[in-house]
Amino acid sequence: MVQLLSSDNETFTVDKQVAERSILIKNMLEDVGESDAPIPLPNVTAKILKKVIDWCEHHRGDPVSQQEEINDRKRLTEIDEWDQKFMEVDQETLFEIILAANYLDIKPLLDIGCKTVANMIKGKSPEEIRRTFNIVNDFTPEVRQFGIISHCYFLAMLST
Amino acid sequence: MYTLPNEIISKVFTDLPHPQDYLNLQLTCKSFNAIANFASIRRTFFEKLLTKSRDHIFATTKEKWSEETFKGICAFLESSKIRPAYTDIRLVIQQVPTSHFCNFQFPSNDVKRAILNLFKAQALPTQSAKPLTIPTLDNDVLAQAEYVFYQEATQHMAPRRIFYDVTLKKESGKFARDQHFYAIFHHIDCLVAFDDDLNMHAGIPEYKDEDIISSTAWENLLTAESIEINNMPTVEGSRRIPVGEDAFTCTLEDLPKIEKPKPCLLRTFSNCHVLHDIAKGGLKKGQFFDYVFMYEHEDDDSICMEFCTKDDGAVTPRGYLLMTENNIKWQ
Repeated sequence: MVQLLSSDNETFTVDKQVAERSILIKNMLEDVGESDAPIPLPNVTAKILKKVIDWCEHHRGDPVSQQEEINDRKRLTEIDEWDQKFMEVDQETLFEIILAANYLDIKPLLDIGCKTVANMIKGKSPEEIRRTFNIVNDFTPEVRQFGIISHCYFLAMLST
Repeated sequence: MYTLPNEIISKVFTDLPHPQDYLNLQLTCKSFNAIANFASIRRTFFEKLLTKSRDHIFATTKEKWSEETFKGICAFLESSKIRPAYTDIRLVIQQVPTSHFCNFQFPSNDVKRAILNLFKAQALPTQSAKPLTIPTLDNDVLAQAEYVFYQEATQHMAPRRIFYDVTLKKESGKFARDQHFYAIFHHIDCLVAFDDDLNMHAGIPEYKDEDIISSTAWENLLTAESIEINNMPTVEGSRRIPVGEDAFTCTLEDLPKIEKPKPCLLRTFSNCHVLHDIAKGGLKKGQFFDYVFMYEHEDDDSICMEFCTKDDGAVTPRGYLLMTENNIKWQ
């Protein structure tokens, strides 16, 4: 078993196999060797760490070495049902999970998080995306009026 | 989304399933616009978008590209600045202007050959003992090709033909008779040839009728106040490539091969004076015409120049030339 310490000082005890879904933790464990000391994770709160551990528990049997290949094959397809449900959280939590996956180096979880965001963008207009993610339109009025042609790679082909 | 670092925003961009989604996210704010313009992100987006097509090409033709070659093809497409309207790589390549084939620094000949071959899937092979002939005077064959792919005009691109396995049948500029080319991109007004080592050579076709020889600038034929580029089909017909979402998911196999390209109205010259007497119509040097229409002839490979006047609102043809390719002025 491995102990993980969240940024708000909560300790979680998890199977080593589960914890090692995180490449960061796996490398740390290799570095420190056998030790009972909890591994500090200063960038992850208890709330998010619990979610991440839940995900790692569910995916503990997934073959890690083939994960990239599986991701490659699945990259244009949907997220599986359990992961979809897992990602049904408020936007702030979703972004925190993504940041935690990035920090902990859990590529499959990062992929699912980014895909979830991509799915939230799918089919939306720029204005709808701004509203969904609270993005401020900071283009100058001239650029807005004339369609930011000089700034934008794709726009010249927009009428294709 | 501002809380996410750029590397994650980049990943979101490359996970988007459609170029329109990519564009819409790009248009939300300045920082996303900047991220979306990174070549590496666009290239990754192309790679994801076209992976299925690569696998399909391998499954149907057994043509297997190395990862490096596939990445090279995607880099080529990315740097052409097109917005991919399709997910079939063999249709996406048709959006790329010929000039990009000249300007791109190909990382290897493998990539170059794979890219040139993308048009070949829809090319017509030689049907008989007589190979296809590059447009030219019947009695003065310039070159012969074994395969040809006809690409119809679009709003942004003039019609082009891509000839494969081409042999010159007479001396032409710097090239001797029997010079062989791997592929030639043939436009009405320019030609880009790749020899067997895939070195690029550019040329300008010259056309001839009634002893008048000229490029499509028609500097020896007429003067005009204005020129409009039309590239519009002159005959009715169903659109070969569907539009919108249907186009995005269609594959080359869903489309009929073009056995005979639809002729196009290419240019309209306004307020013109002819610089020669022209027998077909009895036109005189210096004569004024409101319009000269330049279009592809329906029945053969010549270009028709139709000299018209506007009388009481009606446009009346007064004479014409059938300009046939005579030679190539190699650069």
